[in-house]
Amino acid sequence: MPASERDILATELRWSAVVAGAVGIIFGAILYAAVALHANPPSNIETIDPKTLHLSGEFTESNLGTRVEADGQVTTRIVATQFTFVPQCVVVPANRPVTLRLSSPDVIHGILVTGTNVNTMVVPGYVAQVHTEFTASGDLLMPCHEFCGLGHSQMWATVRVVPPESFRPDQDGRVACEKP
Amino acid sequence: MTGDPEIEDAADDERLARVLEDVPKGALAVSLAAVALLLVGWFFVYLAIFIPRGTVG
Amino acid sequence: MKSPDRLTLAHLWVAFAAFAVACFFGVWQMWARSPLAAPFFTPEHYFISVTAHGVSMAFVLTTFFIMGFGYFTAESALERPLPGKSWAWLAFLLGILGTVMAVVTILSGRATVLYTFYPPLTASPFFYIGLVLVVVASWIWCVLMLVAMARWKHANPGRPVPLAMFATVANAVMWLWTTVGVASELLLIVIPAAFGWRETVDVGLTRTLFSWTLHAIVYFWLFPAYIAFYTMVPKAAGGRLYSDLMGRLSFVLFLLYSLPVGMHHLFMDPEHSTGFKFLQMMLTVLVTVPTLLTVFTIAASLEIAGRLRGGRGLFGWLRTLPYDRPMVLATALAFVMLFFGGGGGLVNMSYGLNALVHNTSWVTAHFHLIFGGTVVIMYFAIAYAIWPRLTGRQPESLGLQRLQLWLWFIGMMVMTLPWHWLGLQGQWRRVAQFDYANPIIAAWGPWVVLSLAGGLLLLASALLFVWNLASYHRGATQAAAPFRFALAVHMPERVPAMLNGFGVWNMLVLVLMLAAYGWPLAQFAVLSPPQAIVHHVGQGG
Repeated sequence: MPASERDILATELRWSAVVAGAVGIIFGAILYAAVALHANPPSNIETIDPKTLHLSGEFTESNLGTRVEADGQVTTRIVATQFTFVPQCVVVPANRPVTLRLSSPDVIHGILVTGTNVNTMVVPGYVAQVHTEFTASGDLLMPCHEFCGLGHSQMWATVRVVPPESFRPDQDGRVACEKP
Repeated sequence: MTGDPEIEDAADDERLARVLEDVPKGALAVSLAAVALLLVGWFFVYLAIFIPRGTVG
Repeated sequence: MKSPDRLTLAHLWVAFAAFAVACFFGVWQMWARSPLAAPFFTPEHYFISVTAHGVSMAFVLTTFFIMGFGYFTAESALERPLPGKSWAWLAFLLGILGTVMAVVTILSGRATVLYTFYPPLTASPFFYIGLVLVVVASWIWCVLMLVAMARWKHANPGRPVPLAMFATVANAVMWLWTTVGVASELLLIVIPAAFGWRETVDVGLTRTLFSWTLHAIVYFWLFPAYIAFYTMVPKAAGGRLYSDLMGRLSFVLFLLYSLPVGMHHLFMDPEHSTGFKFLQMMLTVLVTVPTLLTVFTIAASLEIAGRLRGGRGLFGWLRTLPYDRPMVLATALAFVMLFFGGGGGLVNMSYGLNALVHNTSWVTAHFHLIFGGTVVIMYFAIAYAIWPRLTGRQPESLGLQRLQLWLWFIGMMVMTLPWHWLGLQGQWRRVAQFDYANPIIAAWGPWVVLSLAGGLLLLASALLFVWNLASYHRGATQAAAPFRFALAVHMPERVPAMLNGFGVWNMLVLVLMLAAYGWPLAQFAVLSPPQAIVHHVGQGG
């Protein structure tokens, strides 16, 4: 019985149902991760003027690095600029919610932290904010991962994850990497 | 001549009809296997690499 | 040689010359990034090379190939002379002029901004003007494709447009929509900034406009490969296309869903909300559908061929396929690379999972494998298939063609699979030199060298490809017979108007783009975020 055009279309329709099921499964898993496991692309929209970043209050040099706020929230502020991160080393506690806040006074940069899901673009004009919780202690690499000019290859920082008992803020709530 | 775009169409209607009794069982097998393997691969990345690396948002 | 053959040959030779030169740059880049010291290394040379490699592969190889193949298809599938040949040659000259302008600015160090050229890093205005000229050339091509189809339909009322041409025009329509993003970005913002007529730019806006183009452009590149799958491969294998209608539907789905998905390149950006990122993720899920449909339809078409050649059982047909024919071999290799490249893409698009891989070598691996692998291997196969017709000569050796294809496949797999692994380790992108003294980075060294070995195989394959094409010009002449496309099991006598034209689909594209990009773009005018200072490169910056 030769396959008629209708038979072929019916078969293709059945295959389409399989395809819909497969992509549906993936979509469901993505949704679950977003809603139940708190895995979302960082998407806090907050603007800031790159031309006055160093005067902005939040991103003045003395306010950079890790600080425990009055409400106990751990916030790490970093400026990404051609071709260095300020500060170049930050300390964060393991097993506690941490918020990273970054901005750039010049061009587009970006960061990832090796071994984690921390990843964001740093776009001049915006504060990039990432919430996460570090699980393992150690020194992690935080490179600039977007081309920002000829010095891009040398632009990276260290994220030092310390066990909670070693995370001791000073009287201002600040924690910094020890000077070598 | 092999590779020549002017290859003669090898299917006369009768042979084509006979072959179409079996098609697309093979294509379904290969396509289902490919999609299944894709799902396995995707879930491996999701469960074994992504989730253990912690929250992000 | 007839004029359209010369037109197609001219375009394809430019495409493949740019391709071969770009392969040399690519190998040198991999050498520079490896633990092995590379000659002529400076960061400036490295990033000039990356810019040249990216522009050649992403803009020159592709645009010229697609234009040339389109002219060929318009003549062969519609069996009519190409309308507006003088316009086609004008477009070719514009494209050459634009390419030369871009190349000169790149090699003189005044356009070291990579092929994505994200402001506020700003190159010489002549770099961007060069790219704009190439785009304008392609717009002329789009119009000629539309005119060719319209005239054929007028002369053949009620008949279905041959699938190869329907798909080509779908691609032209999609390209017109696609280029709106980058053209707006360049003409309205970046070129004025490059000339110094404005001192600041809205970086979120330029990134968003570029993202409009950035995803759809890869489907512009992909269309010729899929046109080959549907309209050349079934014939080359000795079988029939399983369903002509599904072919039309797949191309229409690409037209619809290639465009409103560009934001998946901006998942990690701070200028867009989870709402719009999630919406565009859902639309990206939909653009996987035409590929998954195609995999089945082409597999069924090959199954017909395999069973006609005596293949039995569930998988026997795979063994009896005529892999000695370059088009069939290329398709098999393309599908293997599609599995890995497409799989990687599924991870990229999965919203939160993008954080795992964004701007790592995983992304570099993905697009080299899916574009450089799956798509470009089919560009080779198309060239081998139409070269006898274009040159009026017989091929010297199919064995060398098959060797070239195998080298490309093996090289691509060896180069890109380690990059996936390195990406998961955190190896980031666009780096001229890694500090292999760092223990985390030191562990990557062997994989980087393995990847370089793959790249060397690719370079060998690229040179063999050019050799194979050039050798046709020394081969025995043959009468140039008309090129015939594959037949379907059921050749449609009539198709629904929706699968024979694009009026309805253009409406739907407009609706989808308004939903997906309306507010994401309008927000910049409404909210007026702070702008960044323009950074001119090549002036010590």
